Amino acid sequence: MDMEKYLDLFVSEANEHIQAAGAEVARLSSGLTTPEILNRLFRHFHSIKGMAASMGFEEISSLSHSVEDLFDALRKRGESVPGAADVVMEALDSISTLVAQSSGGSGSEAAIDVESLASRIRALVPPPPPARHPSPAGDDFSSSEKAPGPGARQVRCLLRVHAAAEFRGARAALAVKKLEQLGQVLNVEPSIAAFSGPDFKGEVSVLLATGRSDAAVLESVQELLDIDEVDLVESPGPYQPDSPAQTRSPQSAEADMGRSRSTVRIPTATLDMFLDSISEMMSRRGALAEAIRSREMPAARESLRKLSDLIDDLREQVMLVRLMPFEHLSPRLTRTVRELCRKTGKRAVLTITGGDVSLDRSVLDEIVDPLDHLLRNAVDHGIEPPAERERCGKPSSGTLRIEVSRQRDRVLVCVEDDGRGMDRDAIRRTAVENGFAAQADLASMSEDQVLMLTTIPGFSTSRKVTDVSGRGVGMDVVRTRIEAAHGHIKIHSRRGEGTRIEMDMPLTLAVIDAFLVEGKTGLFAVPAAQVCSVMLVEPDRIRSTLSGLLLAPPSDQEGTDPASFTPLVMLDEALGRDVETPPRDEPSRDGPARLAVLAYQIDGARGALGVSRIRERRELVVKPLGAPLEHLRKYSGAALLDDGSLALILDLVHLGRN
Amino acid sequence: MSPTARTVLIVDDALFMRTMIRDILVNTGQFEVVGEASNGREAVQLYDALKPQLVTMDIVMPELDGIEATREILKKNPQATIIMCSALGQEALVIESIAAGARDFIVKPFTPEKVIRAIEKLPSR
Repeated sequence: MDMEKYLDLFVSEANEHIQAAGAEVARLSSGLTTPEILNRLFRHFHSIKGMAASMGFEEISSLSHSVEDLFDALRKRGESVPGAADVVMEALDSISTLVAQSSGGSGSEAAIDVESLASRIRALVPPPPPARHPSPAGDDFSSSEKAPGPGARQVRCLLRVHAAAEFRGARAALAVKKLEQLGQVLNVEPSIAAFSGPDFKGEVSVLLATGRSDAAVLESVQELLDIDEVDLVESPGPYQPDSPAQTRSPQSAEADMGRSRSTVRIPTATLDMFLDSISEMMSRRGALAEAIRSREMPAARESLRKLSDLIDDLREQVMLVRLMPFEHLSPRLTRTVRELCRKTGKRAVLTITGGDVSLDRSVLDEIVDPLDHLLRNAVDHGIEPPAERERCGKPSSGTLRIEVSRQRDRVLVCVEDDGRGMDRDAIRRTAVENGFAAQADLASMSEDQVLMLTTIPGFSTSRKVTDVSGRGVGMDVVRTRIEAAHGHIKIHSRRGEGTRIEMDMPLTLAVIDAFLVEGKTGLFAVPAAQVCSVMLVEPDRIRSTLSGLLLAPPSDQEGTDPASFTPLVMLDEALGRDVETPPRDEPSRDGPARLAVLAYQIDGARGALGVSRIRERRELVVKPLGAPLEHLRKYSGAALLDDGSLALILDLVHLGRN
Repeated sequence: MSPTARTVLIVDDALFMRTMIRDILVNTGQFEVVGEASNGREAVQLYDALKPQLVTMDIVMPELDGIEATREILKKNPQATIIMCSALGQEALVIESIAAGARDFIVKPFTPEKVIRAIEKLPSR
């Protein structure tokens, strides 16, 4: 570029600004300070700076920059500071001289100490005022032009801006804006306000709900200038902001599925299989209708039987489609560990075994956030820094393990680390100090029960937390979410060796293996997973105590051990129906009437439920209760019966005394 | 000048800057400068009158600053392509402009390379 041509322009325009600025500073000197004056001065020096920079005049540019910054701060305050006018006048003179020198014109040859002048100016800059510029309403990055359609899925885009780019935050902002055109941006990390801050590292994670393909998303961002890396990770879970425990029951997750925040890819062959099944069912239905019309019962029964088989098959096929291997969560979880290691300077490797175990999508959705949380805790609090690990004789890189295994209709997910382990004494101290437990209670608690104290809501945020190494923030949230998905959580930990958290989840939330039982008022379903045994007991085994009924062991085993007595709850009573005497089974011809009892076990605690009658054990389709019924703790859902009626599913944890 | 030259409105309060940008754009042979505005108010008025295909917008200006002018132009012309011309130290303002709808930005001091790079990559809507 031919700078000569611009020199004249530069000099003449710079001098215009210098003159105008001089007049304004004179006003300042005479004690006149208005926002207008400050604004104008800001603009004059801003302009001089810009032009000088374009011309390559470093000294003029940097000196003007310092004055510009001064007036930027002053105009935000609305008033000047003492001494400003004089120093600025001095700066103006220097700038004028430098400008004259630049064009080779007359001007004193004396070298100007720009640096010391600039630092004197910077020293005048007042601290920023408490009130900040409110961001203009209506301009933000959350307005989306296209709401995600029914085929929308969630994708997490990880971007890295080129290290040497100018205004990396602005480049990132352009990328976010671009992604907005493809759907709805649900979350940006770090927040956009941090993009222009000093800590911005050029790495951004954007959670996007979109109906567009991965390729389309990648392409649109890669088009942008200075975006080095783009990675897409499909996010299976519905987005949950980091807010305190939300009791989202899986029922609502099921209901939400109707709005499909996630999609499933099905091979077209599977769909063809569905259609085949359906056409067979249609012909069976025809045969059934015909048989009924001509009143041929054997033929009707046969058709019905075949139709039932087809329906069961189809249901199973559709259920399988909902299943996804646990591995699906792997990219997100490994990324969490990697990023956190990078941030904390610790080293840890995550291995996942049993990734091929498949779970229902809705269950995966429910556990992904708690798992993420647990991994974060493990790296943050569990795994020691490499040096400390070596001192303990451990490998410098920590081991994080997620083990997934299937047991009947449950799935066991364990998160384990070989870190510091949890400090039970510190937990006990914190519990007592903050009123979560009394000293007396603590004495009778088992080691594992002490660990469970960390899952009490509010435990981790109590202000007087004494140094609780091990699990930190959020165990209460994790527990709530797991339990809302009908799971249980157990914590094992050994100081110095590590911690293991076990989550026992249902395989699917859509179907339950249950015992259908009768109460006075109707049919109920009891989850079979928790039931140990089912029996008819003699009435003399039922004992009355002040705290309730007890089921005594069979008479030939009695008198051995108080622990062999099981707390017994009568279904109707537990549900609030008044009964005078325990209900009995129909009196049999062989003796006094016996009581139908289901003995169960939850987290090692035993209980027993007495019912009018036990009908059968079978798989039942689960229907969510929906608001407001979902808040009833005693019922965890409703099961659909063959005749279309519903049997409420009992939640033994809240129903019984354990 | 190629027949497909795009029309540009240059907005900057410094004649110096306007001249420099004009020269760079014209030298590429791809642009025709149809107007120059020295403040945000003029920018909005000239945009209405000229409907240029591209606008280069300075941020700090008297009367109406570049961000406000960008907002006003986009309100009536959502398809307008506006590129912010920013000095160092104004990243937060640039991000604000992007939120307001600016399509891209160039950081001063300008070089022909920078300007061309930004203009070339302008996404087509």
